[in-house]
Amino acid sequence: MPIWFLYDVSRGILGVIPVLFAGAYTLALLVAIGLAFLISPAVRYARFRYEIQGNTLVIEGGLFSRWRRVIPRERVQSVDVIQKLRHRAFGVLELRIEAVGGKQTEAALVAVLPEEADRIRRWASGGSEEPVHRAPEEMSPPLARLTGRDLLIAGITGGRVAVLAILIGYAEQLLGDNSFDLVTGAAERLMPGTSLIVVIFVLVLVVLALSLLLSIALTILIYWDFTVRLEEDRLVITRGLLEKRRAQIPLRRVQAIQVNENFLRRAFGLASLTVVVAGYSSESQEKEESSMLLPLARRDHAWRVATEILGAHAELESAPLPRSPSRAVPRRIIFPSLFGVGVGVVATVLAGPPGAAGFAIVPLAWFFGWLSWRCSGHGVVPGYVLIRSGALVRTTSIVPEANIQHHQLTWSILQKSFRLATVNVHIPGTHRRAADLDEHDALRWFTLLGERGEAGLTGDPG
Amino acid sequence: MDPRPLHPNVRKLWRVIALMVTVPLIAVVAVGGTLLELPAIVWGALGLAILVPALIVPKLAYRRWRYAIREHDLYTSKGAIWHVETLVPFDWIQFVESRQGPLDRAFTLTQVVVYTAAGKATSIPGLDQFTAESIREDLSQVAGAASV
Repeated sequence: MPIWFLYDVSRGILGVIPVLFAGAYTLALLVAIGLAFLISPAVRYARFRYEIQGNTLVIEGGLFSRWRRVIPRERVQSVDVIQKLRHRAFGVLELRIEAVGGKQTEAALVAVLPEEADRIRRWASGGSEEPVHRAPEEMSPPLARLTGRDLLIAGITGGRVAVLAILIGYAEQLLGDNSFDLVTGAAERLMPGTSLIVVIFVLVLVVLALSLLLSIALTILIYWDFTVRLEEDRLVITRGLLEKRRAQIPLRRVQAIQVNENFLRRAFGLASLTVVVAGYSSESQEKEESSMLLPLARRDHAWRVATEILGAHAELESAPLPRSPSRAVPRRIIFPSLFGVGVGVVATVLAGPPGAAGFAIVPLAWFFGWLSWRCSGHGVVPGYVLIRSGALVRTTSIVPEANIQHHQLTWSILQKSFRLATVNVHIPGTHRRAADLDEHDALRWFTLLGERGEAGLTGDPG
Repeated sequence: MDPRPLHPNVRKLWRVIALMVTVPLIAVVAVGGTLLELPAIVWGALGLAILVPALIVPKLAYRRWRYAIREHDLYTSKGAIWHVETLVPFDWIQFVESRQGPLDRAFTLTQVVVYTAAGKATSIPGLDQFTAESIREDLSQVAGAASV
């Protein structure tokens, strides 16, 4: 596949770019590195082989040390297709195959032709490798599709302020320690005679506006043209503006579905849906995006999609999810309060009266303890366990009982004295905690979940 | 079967492990206390705060430990400070393994570790070799009616 080679060399050329900006001292070194960048793709390309052998996918390669990996078909969790700009330039796709139990992507075919990608995808989903021609109108209607308006709302209500904080951190490093003086100086010139308070206020507004714009831009880039549809026994998710992605997840690999509502979205009755699959690679941001089932929808719509995918009764949404007993609040705030008092005392001793600001942690801890209790909720309904937790972002996990592998009942000493206990349910790749249940309820859960093996659920829990 | 305790030898094993952790720590506290010229009562209290749990925890942990192979599942109860009960239905067991480290061997003990598709589910640390092997065989016999 010469296209592949060209594509890899183009990446090598990118590696040479730093040469253009280098000083004379490092030029020789950079040229050597650049050459290595040009040669290594050729070697890697020559060494890389993949082959479908019946029910296994065999991949081998390696630059310095050779490796060979065999992936049985039944271990494949999901197949993602990615098309970044550079893939589009060469008319190729990237395929990422995730298998059960792995922490990283098991097989990454960085550049394959679209027909080849199709062939591998069909193999992975258990069909024949021969193409099946299907007219677009035969395709199942999407479970959900996002409009431009949805994306805009998702961007406005989704918290991506963290990205901006990083950018600000960078700017501060670039400008040095006196950046604040610079900014206030500039503000003096632009708005002469204004007080520092106003300057700070304006700054905060600017930062907020920027973060909002950034959030909208990123949401549009990542989730452009988002559709999710059920095709036979798998979920197919397509999305992306510059980088087009198509993920397909076999339904039997779906371990749980999570309904997420941050405080802003909750106020407007909006939510997002994520899918819990055992094999997705662990890089957090990437994981969040690839497990996204629905970036934004009205809460009832999100629940409808979730129950449809799980094959559950639609009334799951209205299942009662009682909160933890109210004594969970003191249980949750005791340690943070002690910590806050400790910080306050130390800060006051070290910094004098202004250090008393350290005590501010205490009411904050109370607020969050109370909020996390307000957001809590747990329920066992026939076939499902529902666990709701969070504070600023409330998440409700819907876990099919059959996916629970083992479960635990735990008490800390503090919980014992409050007659509270936690039930941990372990599903492949992760677990969910129903924290601070009443001790008797927790015991009831523990026994009830233990009976799932006898209730005729043993058919295909995977 | 009714919940059973572990082999009594495991208390000795845990005490050895606890001492292996705490003795170096106490040495650090003693040396540090002398170098910093702290009053004896301060580093003495610190040393006791490390030593006392090391002496008590193995005893409490042994008292807490129970395991039972029941009709449909494996039950374990453990944890001196953090009490954890685990239930693993046989159908969800992926594989079972018995282990014997150098310390286990010194006290003629064997561990049994049970895995599900969600990873290590639980382990029973202090068993005599015969019991461990029969548990391993029994659990492997009934394991894995459920596929992943």
